Amino acid sequence: MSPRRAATSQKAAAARFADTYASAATDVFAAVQREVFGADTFVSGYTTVAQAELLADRLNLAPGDRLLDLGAGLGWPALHLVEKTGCRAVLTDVLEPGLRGAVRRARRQRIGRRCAFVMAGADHLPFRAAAFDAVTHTDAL
Amino acid sequence: MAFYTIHIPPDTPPADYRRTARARSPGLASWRRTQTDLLRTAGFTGIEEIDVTADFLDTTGRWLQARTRHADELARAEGHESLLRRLRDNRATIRAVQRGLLRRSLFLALRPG
Repeated sequence: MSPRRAATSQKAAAARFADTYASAATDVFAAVQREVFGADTFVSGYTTVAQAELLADRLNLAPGDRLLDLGAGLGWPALHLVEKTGCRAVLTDVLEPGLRGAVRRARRQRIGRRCAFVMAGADHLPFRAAAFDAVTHTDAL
Repeated sequence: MAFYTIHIPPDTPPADYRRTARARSPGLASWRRTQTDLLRTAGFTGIEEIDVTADFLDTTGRWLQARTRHADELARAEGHESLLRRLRDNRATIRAVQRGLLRRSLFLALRPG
């Protein structure tokens, strides 16, 4: 993707997700997403708890494994995977408000020390080759 | 590597495929014709697709019901226009899935070496 097209795409994503991140902080949104998922996912997406568990299971994540999550947004399901499996994770996104929300949730879930947060797009990742044991993304690409 | 994505089923007739891609159906994350070919070209092996479209339809239906039930509070919290857009998107997604034009899958693949 050309830099110009990437910037346009990033701008469109920022506009699309701005009200999502703003509304995710409200009590009514928390109630609605709890009705949808039966758990606190804090997202307006489609990845259920069972599907998050399927990811953990199929990737065979274990304590100490290094996971890279692309387009992490508010951190679901990457933070869930960290909490359930004991793995470490780097969460990346091009949008700062989402990542800030993910940082807060990681602290609240007391897994902040096993997580890192990096503003980066999937097309320009600042990591060396083979730095991770597993890579995930959900409905981002 | 493992990822969930919402895509147009590869066996969709070309005219429907183009129409669905052009319409940018809500939630559609990938316009690639086949994720499998893309992964193979990028050097991945052991490619597996698990179709989770039934869950996708169920979850979208739950969003629609919950948003409708909490419409007044949501309109106050996020604005009337935003709520209407989300409800419209949920309905459009449900229609597209029911017509077989959208699929959600988990793709799993290995990178040798």
